[in-house]
Amino acid sequence: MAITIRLATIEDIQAMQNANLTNLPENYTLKYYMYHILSWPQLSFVATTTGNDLVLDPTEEYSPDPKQDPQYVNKDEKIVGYVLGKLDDDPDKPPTPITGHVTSLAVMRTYRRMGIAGKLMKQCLYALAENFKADRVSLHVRKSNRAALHLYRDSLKFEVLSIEKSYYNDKEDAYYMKKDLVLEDLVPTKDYEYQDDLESDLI
Amino acid sequence: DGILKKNPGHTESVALKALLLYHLKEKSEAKVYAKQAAVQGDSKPVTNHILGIYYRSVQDYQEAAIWFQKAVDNKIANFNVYKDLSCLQAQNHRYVGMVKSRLMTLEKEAGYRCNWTGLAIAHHLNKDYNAAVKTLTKFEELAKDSLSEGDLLEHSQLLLYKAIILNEAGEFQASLNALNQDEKSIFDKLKFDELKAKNLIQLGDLKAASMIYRKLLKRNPDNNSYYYLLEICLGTNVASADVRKRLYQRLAGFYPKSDPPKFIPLTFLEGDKFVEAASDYVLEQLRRGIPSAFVNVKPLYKDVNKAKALGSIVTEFFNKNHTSPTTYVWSGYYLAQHYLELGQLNEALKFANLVIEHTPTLVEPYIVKARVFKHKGEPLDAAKFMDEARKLDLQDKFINSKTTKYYLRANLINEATQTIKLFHRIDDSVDVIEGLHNTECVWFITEEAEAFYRIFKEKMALLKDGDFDADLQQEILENQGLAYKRFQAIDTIFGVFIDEQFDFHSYCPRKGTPASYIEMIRWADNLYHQPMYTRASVGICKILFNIHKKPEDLNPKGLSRQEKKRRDALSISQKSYREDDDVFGERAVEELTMDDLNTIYNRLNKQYIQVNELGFELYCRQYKVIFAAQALINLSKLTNNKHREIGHFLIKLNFDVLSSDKVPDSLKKVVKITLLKNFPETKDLLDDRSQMEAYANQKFLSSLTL
Repeated sequence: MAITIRLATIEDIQAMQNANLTNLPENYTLKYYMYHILSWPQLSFVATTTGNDLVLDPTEEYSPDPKQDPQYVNKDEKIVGYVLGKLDDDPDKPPTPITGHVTSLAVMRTYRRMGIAGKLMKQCLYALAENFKADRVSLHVRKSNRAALHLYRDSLKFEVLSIEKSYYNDKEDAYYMKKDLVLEDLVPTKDYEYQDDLESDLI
Repeated sequence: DGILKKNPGHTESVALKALLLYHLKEKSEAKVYAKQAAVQGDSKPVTNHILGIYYRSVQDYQEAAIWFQKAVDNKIANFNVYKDLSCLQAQNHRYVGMVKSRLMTLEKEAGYRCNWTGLAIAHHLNKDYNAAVKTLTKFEELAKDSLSEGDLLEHSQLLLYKAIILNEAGEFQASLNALNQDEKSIFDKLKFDELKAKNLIQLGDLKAASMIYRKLLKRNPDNNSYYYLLEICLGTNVASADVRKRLYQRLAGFYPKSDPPKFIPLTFLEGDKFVEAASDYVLEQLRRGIPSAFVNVKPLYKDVNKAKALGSIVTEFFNKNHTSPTTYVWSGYYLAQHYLELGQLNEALKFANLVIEHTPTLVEPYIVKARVFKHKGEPLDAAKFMDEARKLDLQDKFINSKTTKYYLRANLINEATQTIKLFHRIDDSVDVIEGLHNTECVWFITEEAEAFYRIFKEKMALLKDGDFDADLQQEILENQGLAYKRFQAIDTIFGVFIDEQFDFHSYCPRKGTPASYIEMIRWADNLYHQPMYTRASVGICKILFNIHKKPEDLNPKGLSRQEKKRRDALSISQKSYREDDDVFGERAVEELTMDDLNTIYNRLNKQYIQVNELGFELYCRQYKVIFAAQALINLSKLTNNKHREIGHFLIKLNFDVLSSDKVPDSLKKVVKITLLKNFPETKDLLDDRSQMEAYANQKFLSSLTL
């Protein structure tokens, strides 16, 4: 199924919670997802499957009920990854630099190696800079999570600020990472070879 | 207490005592005092207010609203009551009243933007778009010259909100004008452009809209809907496949790393052109070792020719590429899924095994092997192979969750619990089942409920007439109770989701996120229509339906020692919350009534086929024949009169239920007429059961032994 990356809405949060519960050890109640979407509605994104709706099934005599599967948000639309983003607005911290934070990111195992996590991150970082003029973004990653470390450090150019001892419930250490944000550099298609000039006819 | 001793009629103190007792966890005693205060202090505003706070604490928002309203009616001096009342009205959908309380709040404190936002939201929910926009505009004018740097984000969000309301009101030009006028002040360019393009389409300016979708693609070339909408604007959605192909070639040139411009053409190309494009698409993914290569093209399998073509493409590739390990493994994995999709289970198994032999450490082929056994109807083997996959990657929670689910499908509840426990790191003091409830793990709770229900049915089948095997009887009651308890937990979790809205009624106006807030209200309004809630509701109803078939003398006495031990162990491992005194849900089941089912059923979405099947069964059991007929008619409408149960249901209603003397003759007539009107082809059959059965068999292919 073709993969779509789009802004997360409140309609998605239960499936995001389900993706989190099935893939990651750090889990949250639904209210925490509500809190993200209702505080920073621009910062969370989902990857979903689509495309079933484009192909007519000649054998179907009537439209069956939607699947009773918590991973689905619509008929034929299943959430396969998400990024949950927030702004650090702790009143005890100084207001600058404006810092965003990636609370959680997951991609279903069966949809890995397609670059979904990177695409979700890029949307989130761009939105952070665009909406909140964020100067930087931070996140935590498990020391043992090599794939995630590779994504953040090598692909997205985060740097390790510190190691937080026993950060996780199971006592594993976390890398605390950050990246400085510059809006113009974050446009997801900035370096593409052929750019749409937004003038000439496409057909 | 001091005041109460001197003056036991001091209702303010009685109410306060109720509130304090509640927070001291003396809930039942609190209730008594609240009732007492309610009787005595009906006309006292402070008592009203305290009682309002008490009922809000116990999350009885209806009752709380009544008392806050009384406090207002009795002219309480505390002005915050209006604000509190408005939140309760939002929770209870009392939007007319909400407008009034928000208006009062604004009059008192017009200096805060959140009060203006709050009023606009109330107008919006009350569908008075005009008043909502006016409220927002009024504040914009007042604040025009006094916005500080820190206000700009909130300002941006409210300008966008105004344009959203205008669009919703059908004022597309006004919405567009508002966006254009405030373009510089609106930071959220994603929502800005999406709304602008939407307005332009609604106004018929497709050319301008197409440019905005092209702009949106630059920031996110992975959003399918931008491509569809761009095509609508360009008019290519109805053009020839060649034209569309050229369009997507250009778009794929701009966005080479994105899936949609490569995938979408596969949906409209046919014949050789399809084969060519599909080869490029799928083989590139196989070469790169993308595990989802098959599921990415799975929608195309609805078209038999495309399914065949894809099978040939990958088979040829597989046969030619025995030498490269990556391509061998991933194309073999593809073919296993391909044959599984076509229902050729032995072929599927053959390819899964080939891949496993080649690379025994790879998780994915075991997953498909397990699925093959699931489809063969062998859930035990399915779980066994999934567990083999799990052992290959103990760090991965995804495969752990899959294995857990497969154990539950095989009714191996203990194995499932032990497996999911490996990732249970929340808090060592909390047991795993309790932890899963705390984290609202809907998938597990539902699957476990269904496993308990299947075990219950299995054990019921073992019970013969006059069987007094206490152990067996005990296990029947236990599994029935646990199944109900888990389904009911889903109902509770959904109730919690609805209650969670409450804090946001005051939070969002302050935070300046009204647009998302409105979406939340709409989401919560439809929660009970969700498929997962339907699934749990069906589970609850089935349990009560089965209780009727239960032998009356199911009353286990004299359990074996072994049985007692098993039960004790289970009572610990299956505890769903800390102070649970009905771990097995046996008491809860006893208290379950038809009325409970009616309450649940009324919430469900009647647009679902399964819900109407359920409604039919539910109403037949209560001899509510008009409602049963209505469910049957809905079922017929939703399925073009093709659902296989219709014939069986017609017979059941017409011959079995209507013949009961519990149905008054007048109703019998009404139902007969209704059935004739909606199923005119049964005109001459409604009086003759055997003819009706013959007709139903032939028309609906229904088995009458159901």
